[in-house]
Amino acid sequence: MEQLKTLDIPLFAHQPAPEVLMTFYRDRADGPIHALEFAVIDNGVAVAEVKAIHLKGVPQSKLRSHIKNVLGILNAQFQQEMSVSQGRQPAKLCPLCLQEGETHD
Amino acid sequence: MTETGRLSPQQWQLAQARAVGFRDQLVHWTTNKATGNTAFYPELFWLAAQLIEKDADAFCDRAQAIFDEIDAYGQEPQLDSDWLQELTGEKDSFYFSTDILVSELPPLPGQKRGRKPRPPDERDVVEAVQQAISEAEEDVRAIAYEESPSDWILKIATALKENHGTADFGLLRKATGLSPGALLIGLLLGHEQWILRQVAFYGEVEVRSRNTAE
Repeated sequence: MEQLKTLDIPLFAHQPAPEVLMTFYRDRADGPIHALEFAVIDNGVAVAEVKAIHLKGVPQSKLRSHIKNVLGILNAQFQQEMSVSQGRQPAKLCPLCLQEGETHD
Repeated sequence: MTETGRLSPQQWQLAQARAVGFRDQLVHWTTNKATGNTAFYPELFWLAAQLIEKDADAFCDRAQAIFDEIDAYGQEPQLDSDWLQELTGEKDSFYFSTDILVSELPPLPGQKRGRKPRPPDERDVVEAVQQAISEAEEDVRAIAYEESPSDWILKIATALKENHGTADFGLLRKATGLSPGALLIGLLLGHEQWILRQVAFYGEVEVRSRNTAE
């Protein structure tokens, strides 16, 4: 009986561009944002991260300019205009709050 | 002019000094720019308007920024979905935690679903109004043919006699047991037997038998 041959043929000349993933820690899709984190994802792997920050007391205008600043810096660092996608996680999974909880414990 | 308003004397002096400095600088710029006496004042006012507008814009921007900070104090901000969509384009990926899945609402029965009601037909409305008018006319005629007016007049005369020839509308209603419409028609038709009097416009109507009045 002939054995089935499995071939591994990669996609030639296809290099998916890295993208920036903005993760909003908020409980509702249209609700207030507890914290914000950035990550650069290249081929499914996080190659850079921007630490999360709490957003309590930050006006909307400052948040917008912060997002634009971070995206500008990341684009300059990776020397290309990266696409941006957004993700959402519940506020209770905020890494800063979890870290503070661990420190207090 | 010694009025300082809300400013302290020091603040007033400072404001005056700034105003004088602004004027002197303006005149200096205008003197350099204007050619001949006739162009001096228009140039002066134009420059002054530009500078004042620039100062006012800077003040408004600063005031808006401070107001935004006060407004945002102690609160977490929101972001317009339109602005985010411009940033991310059409492609959005959401990663949800299963802890916050909301169960679906129970479906409403078919009749209660939000169907927009049809506007009423004009013909139906006109027919309904005409029917209401004819029904009202029938009611009036029904009252008129229920008993004869002479019975009403007799009841009113009897009630007046029992009350020494004078009674008001309310008392007559109770005494005769007639409806207000029948009582009024009876009073009008039997005017030869009594006098109707009303002191104030919205006051009680007094009925007095002509025998008593005379």
